[in-house]
Amino acid sequence: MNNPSQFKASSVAGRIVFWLLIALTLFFFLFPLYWMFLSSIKQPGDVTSLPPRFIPFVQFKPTLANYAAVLSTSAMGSRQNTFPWALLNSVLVGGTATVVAVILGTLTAYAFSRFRVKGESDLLFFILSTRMLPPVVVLVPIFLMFTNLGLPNTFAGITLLYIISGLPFVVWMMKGFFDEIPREYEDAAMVDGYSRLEAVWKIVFPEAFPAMLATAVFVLITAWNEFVFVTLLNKQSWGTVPPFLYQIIGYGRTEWSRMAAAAIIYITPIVVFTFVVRNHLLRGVTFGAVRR
Amino acid sequence: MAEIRIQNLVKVFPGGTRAVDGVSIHVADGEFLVLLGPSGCGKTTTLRCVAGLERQTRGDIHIGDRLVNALPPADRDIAFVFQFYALYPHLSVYDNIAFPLKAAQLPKSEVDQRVHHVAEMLKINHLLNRRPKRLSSGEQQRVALGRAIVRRPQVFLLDEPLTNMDSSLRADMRVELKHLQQELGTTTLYVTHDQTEAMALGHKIAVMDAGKLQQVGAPLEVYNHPATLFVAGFIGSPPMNLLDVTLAAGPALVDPDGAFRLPVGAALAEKWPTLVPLKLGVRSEDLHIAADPSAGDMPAEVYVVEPLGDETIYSLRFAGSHVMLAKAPPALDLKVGDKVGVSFDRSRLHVFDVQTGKALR
Repeated sequence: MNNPSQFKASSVAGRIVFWLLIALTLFFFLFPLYWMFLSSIKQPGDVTSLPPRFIPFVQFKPTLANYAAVLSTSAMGSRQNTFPWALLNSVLVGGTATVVAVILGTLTAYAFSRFRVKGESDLLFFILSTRMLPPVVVLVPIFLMFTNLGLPNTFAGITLLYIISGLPFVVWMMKGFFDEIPREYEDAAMVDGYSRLEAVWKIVFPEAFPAMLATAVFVLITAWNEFVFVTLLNKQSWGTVPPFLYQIIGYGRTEWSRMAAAAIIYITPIVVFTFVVRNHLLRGVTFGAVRR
Repeated sequence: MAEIRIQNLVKVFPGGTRAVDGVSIHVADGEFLVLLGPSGCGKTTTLRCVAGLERQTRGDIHIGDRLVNALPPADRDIAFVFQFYALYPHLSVYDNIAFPLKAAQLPKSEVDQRVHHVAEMLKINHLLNRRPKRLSSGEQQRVALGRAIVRRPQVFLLDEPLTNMDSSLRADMRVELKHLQQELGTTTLYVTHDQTEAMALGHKIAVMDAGKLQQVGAPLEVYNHPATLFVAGFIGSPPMNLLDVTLAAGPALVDPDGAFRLPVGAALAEKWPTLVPLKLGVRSEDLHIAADPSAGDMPAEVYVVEPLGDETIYSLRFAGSHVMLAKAPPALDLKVGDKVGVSFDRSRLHVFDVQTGKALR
């Protein structure tokens, strides 16, 4: 077990180094977030001022105007081209893609783990191989297929794309988890009077649930952050939040504080979700490491 | 209650491994039969076929009057106890035991009453609210047994249920298991690789090797009259002394070098073929040691001494450097290097045909 109390036992110097390293790491990761938050509550003039102003109320007067502007549905031209609209798109696309990918991938992984599948290793390699290229490489063929199928600017189109890009990850993660769950559980449940499907539902899924949550977090974050495909496959006025944020830069003078406000709102749900499932996340990720 | 009839069971796994090869076993109603063999001999596969967790390639399995070949495990009215107990980790002990009853959709009051009855029988009532993870291995095993008993199945199938316990606990559980089976009178098929366990528990023992049934019989019958070389070598601790011999004129059993020569009575020798490679088997308790090297059938030298307290096991080196183990009471007190005389109990010699592996009687 890696617990901090062991460091305490070593020496005072060790403790100081330990906490210094922690502080440094936290600073490295959290300062950009803090800066983004500061920018989101600054007046336009304060954002780019030199020297930079770090302390609200003391060095500058904070404002919520940026949030109000970003959240208003009449801010920029058409109804569709507003932040709330893009956010709704992101939630629906990301949520649907995650749920569908995790369900389909989990079922696939269960089959791979428990049943004799012809050409199992080839199929698994093929599934993984779809992740071996940088996605942009296949942009052109996907663009052509998208256009021919009439998928640009549709909810179904981009969701489908995210489901497909999330699936290999889910299949591989969940197969690893299922391989670690002893088959005897299902055997026992089947002897106890249940069908295989009931056994899976009552015994295996409750066991696999933390792993499913952990996997879902990763799929959701990927879909939530995806920029290239959603930007290039849809017209400007249709899309999720990432292309919308990019658009803000495009309007002549860049509205840094509005962009920061939108970004803060955008990352909040994912931070909250990750925070809520963090215990499962840890268990899910370390699941494969624990041996009987 | 029901009997189990396994007829000509064959299981070939995809890939060609012939795990079970023509096994026929009959477990009578209420009988406790132990399926014994080394790992990989097909005993667990046989058990899983009876449970319906594997589908046999050929052969019939009857439980009671029903041919169960095509029935899923749920419909066979059996209970299975696994080596790793397979307790459902997210359910409490109570819910684990109640799990099969819920499948049968019994009314809540009856479930409750039955779970408590079983918990009392196994002395686990104080654990009902705990999760399996927080139980010791002995307690886990009791819960697993409880889950098996609670539905009152026709047949118990147990797959090495004591293997994962430490040895003192194992001895306790063995006694309890035997008592429980006597009390319930449920037909039981029990798989183990531990011959002590098999001897202690079974009304009958079925010994398997390489997918084939070697011998079925009461524990002492199997011990005293092993039907094959494999059974002779597998059952008994220390294992039976085995020596390559042929029947020579005299008549006597002689090793290939001619250094070891054991005269036998004519009546005994009549049952054995001449000029055929044989294996002589002698249990360690059937060798009698005398401190006088000229006494008994032949001299030997003490090679290793293993005092076990209640008895001492001597490794004796005979002419031709053959080593045999002999049990003797601790009072004998020999030292390494002592010269002794050894006599063989003629009525308890085992002779096997090397070619077929079968005992010659």
